[in-house]
Amino acid sequence: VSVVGPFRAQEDAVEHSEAKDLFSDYLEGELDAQASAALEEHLSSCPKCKQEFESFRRTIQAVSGLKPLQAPQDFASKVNHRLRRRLRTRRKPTSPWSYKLPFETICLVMLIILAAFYIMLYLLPQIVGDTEFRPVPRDAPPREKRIPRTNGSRRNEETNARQKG
Amino acid sequence: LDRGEERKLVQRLKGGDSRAFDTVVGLFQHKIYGLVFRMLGNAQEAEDLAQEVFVTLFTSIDGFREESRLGTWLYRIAVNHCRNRIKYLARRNESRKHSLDQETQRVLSNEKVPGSPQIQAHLPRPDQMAEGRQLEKIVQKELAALESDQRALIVLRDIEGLTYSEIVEVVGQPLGTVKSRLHRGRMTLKEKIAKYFK
Repeated sequence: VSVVGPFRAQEDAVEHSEAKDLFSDYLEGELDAQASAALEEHLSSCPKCKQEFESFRRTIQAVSGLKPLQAPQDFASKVNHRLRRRLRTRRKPTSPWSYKLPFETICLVMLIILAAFYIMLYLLPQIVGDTEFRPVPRDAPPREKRIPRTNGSRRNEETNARQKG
Repeated sequence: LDRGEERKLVQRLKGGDSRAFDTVVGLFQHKIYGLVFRMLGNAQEAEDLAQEVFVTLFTSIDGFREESRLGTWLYRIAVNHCRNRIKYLARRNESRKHSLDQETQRVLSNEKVPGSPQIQAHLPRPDQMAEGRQLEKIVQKELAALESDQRALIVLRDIEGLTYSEIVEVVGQPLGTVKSRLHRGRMTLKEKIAKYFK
């Protein structure tokens, strides 16, 4: 504990606060002789700090003077009763629905499901091409080979049909 | 209990011996109840929580590695339970009710063990005794209004009389932190109750 600085200028506000910081150590006998003497000297010359110290000392005295309390008479039997009840609840066979999953696990599972859906619906067709599955009836005629038609050829067919009409 | 007896007791507890549990409850019930009461400032909450401390002891004894004394470990359980309960009560705005309920008043007025020599020396006459009782209630009320960490340290050090090394084990904080928080708590308490000193 520094004792050289704090107790030089006795009207300095910092000095008062530093003196207050030593109250606990002083009362518990944790200050060395030099620090104790410096604090005592300060207290003897500073009525304000002296009063603060007295209040502090009386506070600790009042707290440590609080009487030890007694637990209620039936305390032990209540503890036993509570323990038995707790152990009974623990040993109860649990139904599969009573298992609790942690929130993080539930979130993770949901994310995996969403990711799987996303991959199936959007990413997979882009990777393997448009392979949309359509069931073909058994008695359906064999599919003709599709000839791609351009817009230009369709327009010519329409013009020819109009001329014939 | 010396170390050897305590070790045997712990082994019996780990084996699920209910009589060993009764022994532990008998040994520590008043200390744990007192600690919890001073921390919470409410008799009903204190009784409920102190019971819970012993149930926790029994159900988690397998996790006790015997690096500290059984009493210190029990204090640790109690302080942790108290912190959680204080948070819970604060959420319920219970902590703002500083007035002591009837049960709490009864507990405070029926304290059986005589006070410390210093206090007795200050309170030889009945009128002064009444003053002392009043002061005790004020101290209890203001103590229960402190920040939970400071409250725990004041209770452990100034009321239960634990050493600093025991307190470090109980609260799991470094010695320097313990000392500075304890001092701050004492100063705060002093600010609140100094006006009642003549």
